[in-house]
Amino acid sequence: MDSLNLRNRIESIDDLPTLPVVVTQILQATKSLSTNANDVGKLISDDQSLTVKVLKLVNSPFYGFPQKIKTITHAIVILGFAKVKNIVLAASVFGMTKGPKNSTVDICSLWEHALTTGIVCRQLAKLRNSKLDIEEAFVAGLLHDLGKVILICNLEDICEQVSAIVREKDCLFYEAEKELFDFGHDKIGVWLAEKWNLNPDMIEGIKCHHQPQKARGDKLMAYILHAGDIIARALDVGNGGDNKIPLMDPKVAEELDLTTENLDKLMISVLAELDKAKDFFDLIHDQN
Amino acid sequence: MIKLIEDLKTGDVIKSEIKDGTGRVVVKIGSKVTPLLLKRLAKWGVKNVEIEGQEPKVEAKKVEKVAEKKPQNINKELVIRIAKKFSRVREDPFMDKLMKLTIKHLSAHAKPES
Repeated sequence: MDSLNLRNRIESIDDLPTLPVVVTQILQATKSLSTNANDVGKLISDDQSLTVKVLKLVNSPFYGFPQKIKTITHAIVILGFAKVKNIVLAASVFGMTKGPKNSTVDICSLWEHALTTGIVCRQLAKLRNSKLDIEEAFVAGLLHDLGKVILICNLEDICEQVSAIVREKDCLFYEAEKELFDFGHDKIGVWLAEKWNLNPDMIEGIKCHHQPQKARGDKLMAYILHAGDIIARALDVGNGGDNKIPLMDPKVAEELDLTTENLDKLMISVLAELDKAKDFFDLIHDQN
Repeated sequence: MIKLIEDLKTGDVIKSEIKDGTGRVVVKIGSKVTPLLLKRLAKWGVKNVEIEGQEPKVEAKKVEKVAEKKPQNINKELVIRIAKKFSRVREDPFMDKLMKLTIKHLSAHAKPES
């Protein structure tokens, strides 16, 4: 199957993962300069289930606010639109699609890997003190394997073929995809990310997280996702469909200044953040 | 807490009164340590005094000692699992470094076995 045929097949899937309508509205609203905290607060508050999830996450130790945030509007005032938008996205994606029970790749394990990657990316952006927003880095990490979600949930036959190669050769999921087809989950993820109207840096990062040098324009997001994925795999939380670790691109290690000292600092901070992210991990299991 | 005279700091608050050889109270409870008092205590030959406050970070020291010891007591299963993941890339110096750091930190972070 070539990528055109696959794209046609994906386009024809009726129940392709979609963001809840309210999330799409929020993404639009947060782009508008005239939107105020009350407008967005009302959009979220109209969805009771989403409100509960978002308030649980904003009050979790991961965000570390000393006083309890009781309303969405309060959360927006304290955290800002961008952060709340990303929390809404995080609260929505885990449960947007159900993995088949007998899937060769467990959807919960995949989300655990994605969440860990998000946490590593957030810390990489923080430690590097870059212009990249740390919450954007978090969400990009969370969504970097979006293509695998579609493979698991909507293209089970293809997912099984890829997994068979992974089992036989004990190779990377990505390598097995390349052996079978002329596309990978990176490309599939981009198709969905474009449909969702995610920000261009994030889309470019998802597209190039296995080949970061190929990213167009500012490569920082792709570099952070590439390193975040590898370090998250090393930390052995969750599973992205294989049991191997890709080679770190030397240019990425150099650009992100991943010296022994900095890696030491990064691992200490990531392990501490993973401990604080219990509410996120609970959400994965509650919704799958 | 008991402090040696050389460890006393200006501002420390005396918790137990200090008496001279005849039993006369020379420093009252609640007095603050000043540079002048430090000189006097030294002159009187006082070796240590009790001051307000807790022992400094005894628990933290214990934790540090446990953490220092952990790498010597690394979980073998963890090492095997991580080494298997890195098996194809260990010849790369960066990946070898990443693997060793991962094992070090995961071992130190793991909860003590009960």
